[in-house]
Amino acid sequence: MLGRMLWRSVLEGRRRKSLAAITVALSAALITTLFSLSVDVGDKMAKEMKSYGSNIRVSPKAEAMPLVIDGVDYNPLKDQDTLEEADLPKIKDIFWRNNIVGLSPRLAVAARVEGAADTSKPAEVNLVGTYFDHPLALPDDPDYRTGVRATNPFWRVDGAWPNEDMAGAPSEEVLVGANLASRLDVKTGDELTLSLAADSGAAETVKVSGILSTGDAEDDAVVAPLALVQGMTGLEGQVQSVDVSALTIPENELSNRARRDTGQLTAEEYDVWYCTAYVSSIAHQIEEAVPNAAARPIWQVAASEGVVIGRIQVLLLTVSLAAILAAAMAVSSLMNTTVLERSREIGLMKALGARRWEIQALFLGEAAMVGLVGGVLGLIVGVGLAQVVGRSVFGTGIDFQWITVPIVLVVSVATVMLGSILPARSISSLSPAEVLHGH
Amino acid sequence: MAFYIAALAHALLPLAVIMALVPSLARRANGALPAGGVLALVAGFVGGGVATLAAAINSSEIVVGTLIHGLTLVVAALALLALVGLLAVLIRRGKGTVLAHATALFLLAAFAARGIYDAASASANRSLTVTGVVNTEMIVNSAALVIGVALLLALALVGARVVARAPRWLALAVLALVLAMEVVAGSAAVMLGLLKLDAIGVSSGRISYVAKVLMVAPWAAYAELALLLILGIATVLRSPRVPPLADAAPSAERVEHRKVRARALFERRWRTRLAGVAVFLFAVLAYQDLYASLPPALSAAAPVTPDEKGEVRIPIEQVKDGDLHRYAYVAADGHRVRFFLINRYDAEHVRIGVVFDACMICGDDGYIQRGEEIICIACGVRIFKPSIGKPGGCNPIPLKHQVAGDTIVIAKADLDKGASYFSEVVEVDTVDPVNGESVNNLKAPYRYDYGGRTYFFSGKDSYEAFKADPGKYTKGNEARRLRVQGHEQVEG
Repeated sequence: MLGRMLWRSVLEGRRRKSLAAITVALSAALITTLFSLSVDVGDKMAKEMKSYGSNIRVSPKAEAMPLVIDGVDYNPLKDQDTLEEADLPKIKDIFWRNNIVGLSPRLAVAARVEGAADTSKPAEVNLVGTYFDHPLALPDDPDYRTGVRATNPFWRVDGAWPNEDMAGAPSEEVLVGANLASRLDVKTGDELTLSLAADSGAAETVKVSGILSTGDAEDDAVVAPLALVQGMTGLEGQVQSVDVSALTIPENELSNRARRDTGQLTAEEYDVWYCTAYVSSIAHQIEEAVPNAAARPIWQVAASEGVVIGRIQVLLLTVSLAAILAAAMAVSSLMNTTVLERSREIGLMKALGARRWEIQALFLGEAAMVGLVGGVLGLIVGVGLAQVVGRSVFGTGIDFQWITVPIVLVVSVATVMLGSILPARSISSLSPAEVLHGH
Repeated sequence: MAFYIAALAHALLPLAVIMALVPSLARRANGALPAGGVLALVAGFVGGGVATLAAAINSSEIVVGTLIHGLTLVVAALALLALVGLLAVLIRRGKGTVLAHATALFLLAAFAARGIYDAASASANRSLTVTGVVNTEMIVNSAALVIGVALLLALALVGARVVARAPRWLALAVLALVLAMEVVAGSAAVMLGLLKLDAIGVSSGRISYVAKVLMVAPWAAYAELALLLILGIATVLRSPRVPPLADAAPSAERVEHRKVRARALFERRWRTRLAGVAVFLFAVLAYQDLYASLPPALSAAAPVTPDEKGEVRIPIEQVKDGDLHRYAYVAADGHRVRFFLINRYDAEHVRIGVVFDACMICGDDGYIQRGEEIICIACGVRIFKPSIGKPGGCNPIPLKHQVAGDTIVIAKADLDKGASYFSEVVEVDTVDPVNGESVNNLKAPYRYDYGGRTYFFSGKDSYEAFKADPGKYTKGNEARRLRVQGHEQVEG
């Protein structure tokens, strides 16, 4: 019976109802936009924290601030602290050594490139020295080889990986990043002359063995064997940082606390944490093993978008609440008019013995439908809006999160319900005799 | 998601059922809570919350937990006594309503406090989410909490409406049954706490009581749901019959008929709601307890028996496909020693890792293969495949072996040395080391552990003789390795 009456009254007062629905849709669109942005970043962060593989950046404890202009670091290397290349095997000697899949040292310097087909004047580029697939003798595995091919398996090379054979002279083969290669018109097999940007010291002639695409900063750099860059800079046996790839287990409460301060853990908790392959405990063990090193997990999302969203989250919540309240007030006045307009009908129902909650259910049911319609409209607009905002703020699109659908619909219906509380209460004060007389 | 609903249900279901049943104890019409009931509930919730906080701050979970369970136990036991004895008489005479009322209030408060404490401690090691930024997981888990609370509240309210239509003696009997179950489960929980706190001495009888009761205690929630449903079914019998109406019935009779029909419909709707809520809770609980919370199962282990030279030979061809190949060897004293072989590299570079299916840190839960990954079941860590066969971290404990051409050769003695890594024991016939008689390892009257091995004896004489000089009878048996020695490198 209630359902039938509800169905009948839905189509009445269409103009006012569509007005209410549009009000709700506006607030729903705003909430969808803010919510999508926040959840997109939150989900990416959660995924990062829960992944089973992590990267750890090991760098000297007192690292000098990089002086980066146009993606090229101009900070003179002499002022920077470095790590000893000879300490690298120690990373594979920690408690969780078997979970360390690979490591690749880095030594980056600003360099000039000459000899490219397209350059009248030498181009300033980043020159990165690293391991590709380099032997690194360990106490328990003399044949161990590691490098970026293990730590960055998604790097693609069009051509061949440089030959790193250490038996003779240092290798003179390099990779050129895809963006840089197209800018300078460099092809596999070309010969380039590299020299340091800082001084006009010794130049090296190198052969391009392949074009590297990484989707990262290396697309704009020349990547060379570590020994070559060490020779050019005179930093034999030194590296700036080491990227370590490790098999880990998802972070949880314990590791979060340990990350804040290991001193707060009880002895028992410390043991559990130390003997569990959290990325934080592996990083801690690397710090213990390598002198003068600071090891930090690399959480890309957490370090970039996560910081932004984490700070403005309360602001987003406040704005959403304000939107909900505004919409609820608008709905409230519209509903009030409806109740007044239909007071005779309500009086009749009361006279026929309808209970109070039944009449209220009729009005609230109608309100819920208006809220649903408004919510769906707002959802459609908001998802589109989130794409635009996402592109302008973070430079990436926003994935569609299914969770926004129930949340926005529930919030929209709740908004209308909130607005309907007062009008619905006024129903009970109506006296059937008076309204049926037309007073 | 189901975890949170199930955790809430296990902890608070007794409270919901008691909320549905106490109105008949305190003689309240239409299933309304006794006067002051809401206050008692709030007091209980606040008490439980304060206890949870206190336990977290002082990290005194055992003391606080035992205290809360003890209090609830006392209240439940007293209520049960009152219900079974004194009260039945008094209520019939129309007296004792004050006592009944007070009992109801105390029950509500005690079970509310215990429920909150249990729910908090069951989910203490879980966090709603890994990051503070709003994300899907956080919303879903929070929604699960809301849904769980709503379901339990619905169960209590709808249950009370239905119970109000049931015979009073039946409702009280069900309440007594529920309290009896809670008293038994609570006594075991309190005893365990006291044992842990060293307040009472440890005896095998107590341990066995605690272990047995606590094993079945999680099923109390199902039993309580079932009891409530049975009560609901009982009300069907008392539901008003709608008599057939003659065509020529007078209008007064028609009005009466319509009223009866309306009441029957009304009651049927409440019963349907109760059944709906109860079945949904039942399904979520069963899903979580019987499916979602189970650890992954180990793949089957192929049994191996050493040949006459005391060696196990496994052709490399059988195990080089990159999958985990599990084997099991039963040692002389019944320990089932699991080990597995796996190709650490690819088909072109065959290097077989030969390891025990146990970790020196996590114990003998074993390792499973999921896709390309080898995972330690106990801690969930992924094992780097090329490192299998090396000691350290959570890697499986290496097993000494030789590669002879195209076969892996493992000596029986080396398998036997690892037997104490494993706790699983199967029934075998062993030999009494003193008199040479055959003894069943599970039924032997005497046993003695020496050098990591268990020896079984057919009688007291041989047991005493062995105990006097174990070395005399165990010549040639090397001591087994303990798990802490698992980090030692083995050649092979």
